[in-house]
Amino acid sequence: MDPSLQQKLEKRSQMLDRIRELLIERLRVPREPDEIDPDTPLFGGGLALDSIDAVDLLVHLGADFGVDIASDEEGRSALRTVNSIVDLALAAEEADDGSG
Amino acid sequence: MDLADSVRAIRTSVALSRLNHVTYVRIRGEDAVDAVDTIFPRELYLRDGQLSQSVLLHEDGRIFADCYLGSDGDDFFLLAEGPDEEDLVHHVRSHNEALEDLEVEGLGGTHGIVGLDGPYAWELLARLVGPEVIGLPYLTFFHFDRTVCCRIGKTGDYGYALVAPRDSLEGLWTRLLELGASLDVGRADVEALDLCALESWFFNIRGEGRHPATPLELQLQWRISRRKSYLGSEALARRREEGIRARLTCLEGSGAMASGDVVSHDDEAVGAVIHAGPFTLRKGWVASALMDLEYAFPGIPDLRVGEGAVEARSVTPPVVNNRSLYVNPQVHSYASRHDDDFPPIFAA
Amino acid sequence: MSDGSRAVVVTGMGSVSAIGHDCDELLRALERGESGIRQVTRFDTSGFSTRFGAEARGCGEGPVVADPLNDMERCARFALRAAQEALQAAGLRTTGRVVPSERVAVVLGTGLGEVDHPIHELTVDLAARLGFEGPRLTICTACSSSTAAIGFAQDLLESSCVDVALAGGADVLTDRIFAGFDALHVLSPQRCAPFSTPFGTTLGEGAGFLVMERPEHARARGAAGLAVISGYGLSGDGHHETSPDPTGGGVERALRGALDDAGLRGEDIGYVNAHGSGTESNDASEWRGIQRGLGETTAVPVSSCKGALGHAQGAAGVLETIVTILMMRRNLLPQTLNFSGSRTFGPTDPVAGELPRPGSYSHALCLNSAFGGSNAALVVSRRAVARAIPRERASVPVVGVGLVSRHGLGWDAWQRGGTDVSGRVPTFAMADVSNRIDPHGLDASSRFLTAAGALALADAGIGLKSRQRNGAGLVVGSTRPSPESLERFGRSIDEHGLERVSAPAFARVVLNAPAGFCSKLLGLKGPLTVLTTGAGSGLTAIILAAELLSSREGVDLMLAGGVDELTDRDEGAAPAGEGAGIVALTRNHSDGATPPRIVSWGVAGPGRSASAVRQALSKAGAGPLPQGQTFDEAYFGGPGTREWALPSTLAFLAATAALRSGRMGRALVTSALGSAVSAAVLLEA
Repeated sequence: MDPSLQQKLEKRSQMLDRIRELLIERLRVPREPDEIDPDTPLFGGGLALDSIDAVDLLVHLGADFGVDIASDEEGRSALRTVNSIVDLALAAEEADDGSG
Repeated sequence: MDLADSVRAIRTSVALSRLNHVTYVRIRGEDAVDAVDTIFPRELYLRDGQLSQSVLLHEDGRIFADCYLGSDGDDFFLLAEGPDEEDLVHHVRSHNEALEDLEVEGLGGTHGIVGLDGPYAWELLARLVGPEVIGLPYLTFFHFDRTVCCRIGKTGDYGYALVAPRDSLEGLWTRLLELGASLDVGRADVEALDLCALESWFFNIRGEGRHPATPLELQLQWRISRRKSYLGSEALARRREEGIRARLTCLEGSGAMASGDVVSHDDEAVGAVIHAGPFTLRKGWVASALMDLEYAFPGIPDLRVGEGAVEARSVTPPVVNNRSLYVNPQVHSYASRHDDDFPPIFAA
Repeated sequence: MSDGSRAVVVTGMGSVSAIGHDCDELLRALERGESGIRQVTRFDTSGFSTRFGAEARGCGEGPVVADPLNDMERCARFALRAAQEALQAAGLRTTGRVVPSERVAVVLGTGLGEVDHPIHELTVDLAARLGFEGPRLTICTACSSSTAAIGFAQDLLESSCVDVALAGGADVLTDRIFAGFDALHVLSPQRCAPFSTPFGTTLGEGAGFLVMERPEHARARGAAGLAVISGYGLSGDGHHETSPDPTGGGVERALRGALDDAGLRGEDIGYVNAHGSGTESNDASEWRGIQRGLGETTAVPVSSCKGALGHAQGAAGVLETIVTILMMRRNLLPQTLNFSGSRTFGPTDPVAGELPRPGSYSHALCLNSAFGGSNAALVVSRRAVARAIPRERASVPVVGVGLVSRHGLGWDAWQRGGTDVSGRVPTFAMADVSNRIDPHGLDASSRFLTAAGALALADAGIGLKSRQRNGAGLVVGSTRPSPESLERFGRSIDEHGLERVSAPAFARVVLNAPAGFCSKLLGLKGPLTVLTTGAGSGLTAIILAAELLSSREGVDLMLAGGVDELTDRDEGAAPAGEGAGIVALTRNHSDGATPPRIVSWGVAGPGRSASAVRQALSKAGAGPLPQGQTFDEAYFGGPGTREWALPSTLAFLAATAALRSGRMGRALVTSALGSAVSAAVLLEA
């Protein structure tokens, strides 16, 4: 695998671990980190977070990862699976690096 | 109705389907709880009127059935895909032979199932049974007449299954078509439902389930309990210890992909397609592939699939921006859809 | 009563609200279509999604101090003012010369609870200031608290343990509550528009009281009746800690319970004063419940006062009942303000408009629903309704007991005891109690209560089937919100600030949250209520549960008891330690076994244990019991440095055990330690 792809996937893997930690520590998801598959849905099935957990999730994503969801609509499409949160967090990090 | 029309109905209004591929089995008796506990991989926390979604396993950890378990008064019931009724009943009984007060009954002879799927499926159902359904939470059910109405669905849009006595099925179907005329109700068969399931990244026993992978590789750990002992749990524990070597990943391709196609990156084989299908509301194909762990991530461009070296990339599923995420039954209706400013179902 | 009616008369009313510091102002404001919703001034709302609130005015607020104890004091001031007005209107001296002071009960509903202060003291202090020495009950079921308080006052009067009841509620609007509701995304960006748009509620505050008496008592002292409380009903949604049952089933059950209690049918109701908070989830499900209870095609006028008063939380029920009474007497239907078009699902006739509409009706329903799922309904009438069938009082079998304590799970564990000095409940797995109960997300109080409830059901050999659940309820006596949850809430404020407070944490910092979880997990959908009397809370809860069971057809199983949760700071202060004790009471017991039965009970003011005992004995026609057959709260723990719910519960469990073992044929359980009530329960084998 070429080094730049390797690096990108490493970054992703680390972010996935951080998001798992967020879900377990802050949102009290009753799972071990390696039980949380990357494509696990957040709402409905999957982690079965409810609407009031969603609020908490956004607060922590904002505070700890710099993720800023502009609208309710954006939130619905962006917050679907654990991987989709990872996408958001990586994008926020990139935006930060870009402006830094 | 052709495939494209069926999918369009599922994605933009509502489609009816005969769920002949879904088996309905009731489990009764004082020992029903213990019987279910033996084979069901999740904790039995579900309360009366609730459904729990899981997979039944073989002893070796492979998937036997994709199922919903319902807690209904003193009974449980299963709505399962995969095995036929006889095999499912046998599966429950044979792993619980020591239990005395247990009755396992397949009800396919007396009952059939009609499915409603789509962003306005709730609206059609409300015309049939009243506004109550609008508040029905996901993975719950209620009884009306002699029918069990379950809110489930594997398309990522609103979905309901009506489990009704066979003698009322035709009447129910006709009535729903009538009531749904002004909702542009469509019809969908298993092929359309399966395509929509793949787009929405729902496990499909006829797709991913054909492969001998376990829930660990198939990203189904949310459907099982690590702490509980059940049929197949030991095999999974062993697999966990060994460590998985591949994981299910979503691919988008510019051309046709098929089950068994090798996925390569830089001329190196890094995975294989398990299940694939064409998008109908946009260009391209979608697939689920078992990728070597190193490559089991979204965001990898420059993949090649199959003999024809179809260009593909791995993506974060689901690949569809389901209309149902935005439709609020308290505010919207099919009639108002042109005034409602919803985001596109597929990115351009 | 000769006509079989249990109606009680309202002889006085008092209120403090966003549209008036007394009932005259309230009435004038209603008639003019005024709204008390304005931009909040007492604290900074710039970080929240709205600036609107309905603050009570004209009450000498003083400077703004963001301090929980200051909030309690403000709440007490509202309550006192409203109570004084009500007593004045009823022609009752506050020094109790007209009515013996120990024969006056104070029943106060409040949601105030996200403070770690003994909430029962609010009611105790109010009663003391008014010179009343009868029982002081505090009902804490959030938004349905004062509605339930009025209902329980009716029970106290009917049982003749008091002659006058001052019933109502009080609550204040604080920045923490505002933050919590905002975190739940239920606040409207504008003045709330019940049944209309936009979605959302507007928080308010205030206090209200009714003076209630039995009709003959009012007649005898020449007091005019303003209206009649004909009956009440309670239910639990068993659904979610902040969202209501979307099918409206909970509201329906409470509504039907009230109609049955009053001996009325749906057609008799001429007006419904809905909870109508304006949130997306409440209004639709409440309307559905009204339809289910009164008929699918009902076009009965349904309105909500919250556009004028805001959502006065624990005081909402009594204020809205007062509005109903004021308007009923003037042949007016209260209007729903801020209405600009119906939602998809809503009342056929929401009485939309700026001003009240003329309308004459003999009976009205007042509905309220709360976080945690407690629903309450009152029937308010012009005159008493004669009931066809007089109510019988049967004794109440005690069929199961469950205990979670410092000694482990079960009553046997308690009896075996131990030399362990810690007052804390040892770690236990919910799976040891039942593998059907999900312990995830439960704080300690919720865990204790749910486990104790499950143990009681198991002890009773009762599995809950769906049919039975609608008639199965829960009454919990507690003294404070879960300290674990209070701490989590506090931490979330420290870490992220009020503007980003944790919604799940907020949902757990009220006194009734553990009962809400317990009822949900055990599938209980009958009457659900939480009260506090400080010491004696557990026993008082059992009494209320027995009363509900023995007086209503639709209720056939009640779980009741008390819960205490300790922190490291309390350990030495709680002689009984922490835990929860629950008993299972049924309506009928016909399988041949003869469990101990509650035959009678008595409730009196603090320090009046003898009176409570006398009531219990005389109702049963029984003579005094020997010392060895009396189980007093003090023996099981106390007095401590603060009052606890568990000791009186343990006393009851001990009495039950003694009767089961055949050691005695009768037992008396007493609570005499508290500053709020004295209580006595007579049990027979």
